[in-house]
Formats: sequence, C-alpha cells, structure tokens
Amino acid sequence: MPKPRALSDFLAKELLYDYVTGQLDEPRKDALEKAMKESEEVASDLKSLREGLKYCEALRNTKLSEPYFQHLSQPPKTLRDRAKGWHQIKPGFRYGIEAIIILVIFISIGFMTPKQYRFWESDSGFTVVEWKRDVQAPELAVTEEPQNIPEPILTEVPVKGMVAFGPPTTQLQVVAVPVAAPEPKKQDAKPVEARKGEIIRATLTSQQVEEWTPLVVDKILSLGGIKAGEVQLGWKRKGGSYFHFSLPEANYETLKEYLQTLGPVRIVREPHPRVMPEGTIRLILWIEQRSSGKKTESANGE
Amino acid sequence: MAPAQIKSVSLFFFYSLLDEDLAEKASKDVIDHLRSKLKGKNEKGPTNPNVVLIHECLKSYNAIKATQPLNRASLAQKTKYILAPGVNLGAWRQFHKEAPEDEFMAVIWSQVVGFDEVLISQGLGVSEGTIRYRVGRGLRQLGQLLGWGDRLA
Repeated sequence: MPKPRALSDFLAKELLYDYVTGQLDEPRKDALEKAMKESEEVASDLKSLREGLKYCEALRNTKLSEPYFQHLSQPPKTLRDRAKGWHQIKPGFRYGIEAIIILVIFISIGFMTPKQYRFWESDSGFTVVEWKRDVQAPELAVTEEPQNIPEPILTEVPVKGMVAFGPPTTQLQVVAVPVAAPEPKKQDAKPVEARKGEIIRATLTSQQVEEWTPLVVDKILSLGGIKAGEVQLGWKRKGGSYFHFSLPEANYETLKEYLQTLGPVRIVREPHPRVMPEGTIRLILWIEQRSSGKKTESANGE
Repeated sequence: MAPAQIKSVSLFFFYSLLDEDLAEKASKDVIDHLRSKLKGKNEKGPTNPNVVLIHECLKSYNAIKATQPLNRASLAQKTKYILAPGVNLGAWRQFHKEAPEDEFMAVIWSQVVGFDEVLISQGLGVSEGTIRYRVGRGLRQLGQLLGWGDRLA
C-alpha cells in the first residue's frame, strides 16, 4: 500500500476549521495532526482559529436590553404614530413640504376641472382688458366731429406813419373776417361728462356651428360690422366660433333679431374701458358647440 | 416574529454596522418589514424564514453601506446591547476593516448570529463548502488580530 502523501501547509490551513468542528474523517484528521506537528505555522493558525471561535462565542452572548427588545418587538407604527413623528420635524422644513403638497393639489384640481368651469380661462385673449372694468373712461377719449374753424385771411395793407423816403413798404396784417360760426350744439352747453364704454356679449348655443358661422359672418358684414381685435370674424376655437366686431348702433336690433331666429341668445352688457365712437357699438358673439350629452339631456327633458 | 429572529437581526446589524443608533434603526425597519413579509405567502422567493431574514438583512446592510460611512461611531456608554463581561470590540473593529466582506459576513452569520451553514449558503447564494472556507479563513484572521492585541497589551 503506498504511503499517504503529506498535507501541504496551505491545504492543512484550509482544513483547520473542519478539524475544529469535527467534520474531518479519520485519515484526514491524522494527516492534519501530523502536519501540525511538523509545521509551526499550521499549529499557530489552529491556535488563532480557536481564539477566534472563542471570541465569537463571547460576541454571540451579547444580550439586548429589555426596553430595546420591547421596542424592536412592537408592531410597526400606526398612521397616528407617524403623524406624531411628522410634527417633530423642524417647522420651516415641514411648512415647505406642506406648501408644496398644497400647490400640487391645486394644480391637480386645475387640470381635472372640466373646461366650462375653469373661471380663470376666458374665451379669448382679451381677459386683461376685462379685469379693468371699473376704470373710468378718460375725457380725451370722447371723439367728436372736428369743428370748422375759419382760417385767417391774409391781406396786404400800406403802413401809415412810416418813414417818407424810400420805397413804400408793405407789411402783412392779420385781419379777422367774420365768418358765420357753427352754432354750438345743445350738448355742449351741458357740463362735459365722460361717456362710459361698454361691450355687448352675446352667447348662442347650437349644434350647427359649422353651418351657421359663415351665415352669421355674412350678416354682420352686411349690417356694416367691422372686425375688431386681431382675429377674423367667426374664428374657430375649441368648442365654438368667436366674433369680435364693431357695428353701427342702428343695426344692432336687426342683428339681434337675426340671431334670435337661430336660437335663444343670451346677451349681457358689460362696462368696458374702451369707449367707442358715438353711434357705434362693440360686440363679442360666441356661438358655442352644444355637446351630444347636452342634446340627450335636453331630449330627455323634453 | 420569534424573539430569536429579532435577536438575530439586531446582532447582525450591531456587529456589521458597529453603530448602535444605526443598528437600531436598521433592525427596526427590517423586523417590521419581515413581520409583514412573513405573514403573506411568498411563492417566488425562499420559503425558510431565516433565509428570508438573511436576504432582507443583507439588502438593508448594502443600502446603508452605500450611503453612510461605517465603523466610525463610538460604542461607549450605550445601553441597548449588553456585551459579555470582558469583551473588547477592538479586534472586531479591526477585523471589520481588514477582512474581505464575504469572509466577514460568513463569520457573522455563522459564529456570531449562529445560523446553520445550510441556511447561510441559501441566504448568500453560495455552496456550504464555500461558507466553511470563508468562515475558517475569517476566524484565523480574527484570531491573529486577537493575538496581536494581546501582545500589544
């Protein structure tokens, strides 16, 4: 039988743990013991390993204090407990977080609100003007017909009492020629009172916005209406058509009657800082597309 | 959760983080998490509660290690962990600094917490032989550090 080969130091060291824990079979155990006798390094490592084991056993006997163990054993904090913790955070930091949360909630509500209830979104880009409803119209804004002021007539007359010698001189003299002045209007006699501007808002709801828009545009133009603002008459926006125009006041009733033939018209007069020339009014007409849901409701209502 | 499991978690964090406050917070978090996790059926992951415990502890340990420097706090005058008489943590601190992490972890789970090598091998995802090899090397290194400490003293 061949003689068993001796263990190298490296292999002997790796077997030390199994040797200490009693997991080596007899032949290996004998070989390892022999190696330990021959090598001081292996024997020293065995000693270190035993010390390590002893030390770890001491660490394993570490105990937890009773309050600490109770603290760890308690079930997780409830929501109320967590709320208490929240109030322990520094006020400045806490208020900041709360402000951000509230802001996020408001923004979320803003996005979720149906469009018809969004009071902060007006129907056009004229919102800024509408916020200034209480502003008094300046007197300069009153426009009147220019008066016929007579122009001075220049005549050539000789100058009396001037130096006798020399060529006769002439001098221009302004002579006022009486011209029939226009009679002052009766209104002028009254104290000047600043006219207040106003705007008429008309709203019409229909399912046939597409068909009606060109008809209404033609009607407005035929009654002498002129586009006001920057967009063309019948500008298509989401949910309807938009008309912003000025109109001779005399034709207002005609237009109103025409619109009423299309459907019930809601008209609101609002004060406005912009003063229109006398005899001219300014209107904003909005023909709103009626949704199919509304149609169903009205049908059921009927 | 069983008291033994609570003690295992807290010992692991105490000796791996070497900071009582950090250990307390980590232990509480993991125990609370384990309490809810072990209630429900876990069909995908390991089923043995102690293997789950090792998983969760390692996950938490790695997360803390990534954000905070370890082995810096003083353990003096703390009252949560009551060490056995005559135990000095100097060698353990040195071992924490010098030993490879896999050997350090193997020694903690095997010799300090006292888990079975089969469980540790499942929890760490390596073979039992590897665990024994790491524990053996780790213990030898720890013993050498203890011997140096004695010589210095």
